[in-house]
Amino acid sequence: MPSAEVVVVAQADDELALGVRQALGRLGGAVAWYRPPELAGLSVHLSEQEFHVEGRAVRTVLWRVSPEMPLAEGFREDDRAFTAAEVAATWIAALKTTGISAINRFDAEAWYSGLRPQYWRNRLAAAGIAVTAIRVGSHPVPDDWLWSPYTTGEPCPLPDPKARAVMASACHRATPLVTSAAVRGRIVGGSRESNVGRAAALLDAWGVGLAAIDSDPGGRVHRIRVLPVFDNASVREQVTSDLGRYLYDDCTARRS
Amino acid sequence: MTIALLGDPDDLAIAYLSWLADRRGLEWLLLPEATLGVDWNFSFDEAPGHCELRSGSRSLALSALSGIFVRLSPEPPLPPGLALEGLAHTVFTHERREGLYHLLQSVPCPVVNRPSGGRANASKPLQMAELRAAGFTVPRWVVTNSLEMANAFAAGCPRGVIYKATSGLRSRVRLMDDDLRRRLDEGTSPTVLQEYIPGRDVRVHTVGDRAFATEMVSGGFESITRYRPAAVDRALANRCCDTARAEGLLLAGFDFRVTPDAEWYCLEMNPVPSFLPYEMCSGEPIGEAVLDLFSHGCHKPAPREGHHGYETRPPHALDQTAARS
Repeated sequence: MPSAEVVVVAQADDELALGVRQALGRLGGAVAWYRPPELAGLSVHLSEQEFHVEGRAVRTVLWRVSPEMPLAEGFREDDRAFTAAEVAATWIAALKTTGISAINRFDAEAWYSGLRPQYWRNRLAAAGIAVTAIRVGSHPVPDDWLWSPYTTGEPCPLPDPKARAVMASACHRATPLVTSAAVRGRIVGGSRESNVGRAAALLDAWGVGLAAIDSDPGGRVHRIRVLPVFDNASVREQVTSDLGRYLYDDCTARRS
Repeated sequence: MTIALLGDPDDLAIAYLSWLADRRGLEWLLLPEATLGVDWNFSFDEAPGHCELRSGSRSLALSALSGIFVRLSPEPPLPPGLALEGLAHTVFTHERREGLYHLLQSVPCPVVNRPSGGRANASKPLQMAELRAAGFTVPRWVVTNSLEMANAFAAGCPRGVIYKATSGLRSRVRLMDDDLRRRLDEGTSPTVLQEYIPGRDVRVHTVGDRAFATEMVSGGFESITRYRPAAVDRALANRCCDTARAEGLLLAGFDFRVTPDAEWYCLEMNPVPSFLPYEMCSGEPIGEAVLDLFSHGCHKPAPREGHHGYETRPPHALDQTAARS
């Protein structure tokens, strides 16, 4: 068995996960890579203490899966939704097992809320983090404001007032945003505002060791992405290097 | 005092709460999900805290609501006159549902229940681990899709093994049988296997700090289930209330299997319990307790670690139903 085998669950073309695999390789660590659609086809066994996949004990996981991803490739079409729910329920429980360390290790509240940006905004705001102002529903807004759909969080032009009312749309000023990479509670690149740093620490405490935090220039949090993609090559390199080192050390320590 | 009944107007619990509210002379608003933005709407501005609810000609501040009782349909209808299909239908209903979630997470009044509460119910192994950590006795379990591991687990359970869905999707609970063995052999999704516990079934509903225990008595195969009030140990009732509160649930339903030697095994905690059959047959005032919760209204926003629901008041003496034990 390799000195350290990290389980990576990510799409085959996930650049961030590929970068982590490279970083692990440089350290001499090995990776067992599973694509989300093939999870349902794996042999798994979970107890309160341990999680085995294909007969091997899982210790350290990079989990790059969203609740919307298909997880049941190869199953009959009318079985896929049920099977995917069963597989997700198994892995979400497994990642919370005390013997396993995972990035990200979502709690049930987060996972079953869909990991949506508004969910994280609400949770951070309730914990005292400053967030950008939004107006919801049929509240009048200036024409130059934007709408961030709950399902994507991607700002887009305002829908008409009637549509805003029936969807309780969240609208906000068109503010320039700063993207910060949060790795295990630290800001790797982006905003230096203390509010953003506190948000990163809170996310880490909630099991989100990897996130992108979009904030306004004053550091008020606008959007959280917990399956982030970083376009900036140097930030991506830093993130994957830090994650690779952490996962390698964790896996090695848990094995010994 | 005005309460809101939000979601599916055909839901029996919503109809029942509105009837109880009428009997008390309480004002209530029905807020059907399907007619959001048509017959009623809400708006809020997070910056100045302007939050308003409008229903017909009526307008009130969201902060004036004493409580919201929620029952959402798994297949919510579109607004009258709107025709959408496929992806557009899916996206629209998701957006609208998320908008309602946003509202329910933001209002300061008690909500039965906020959508963030009790989510672990959708992952049975996760919930069982959490229930054990909360101090409940939970039957031994594994989740597996390996026939070899399933047989090994069953060999260690002399009283037998049941199997059920791993997620929150409805499934029949059955004793381990050749059908499961065949499916495991052919390859299937992970399944919860749990040690079979013989005994009687007791549901404990918690409403804030109050607990109501009901025993389900089955008269045999295909006969009607009867419900009757049951006694529950005060410490166990308190644990149920504390656990529900920690999970952000003002109303919860705990399912127990009680062995002949009075050992209480907790099987699950339901965040959207169908309390009506229990109340109708046992006479326990669960719906009234929900209205009491809204009337007393001492729930202040208080974020806590790991959850952004709202704290309820600290536990005090249980009501007479729980105290009967």
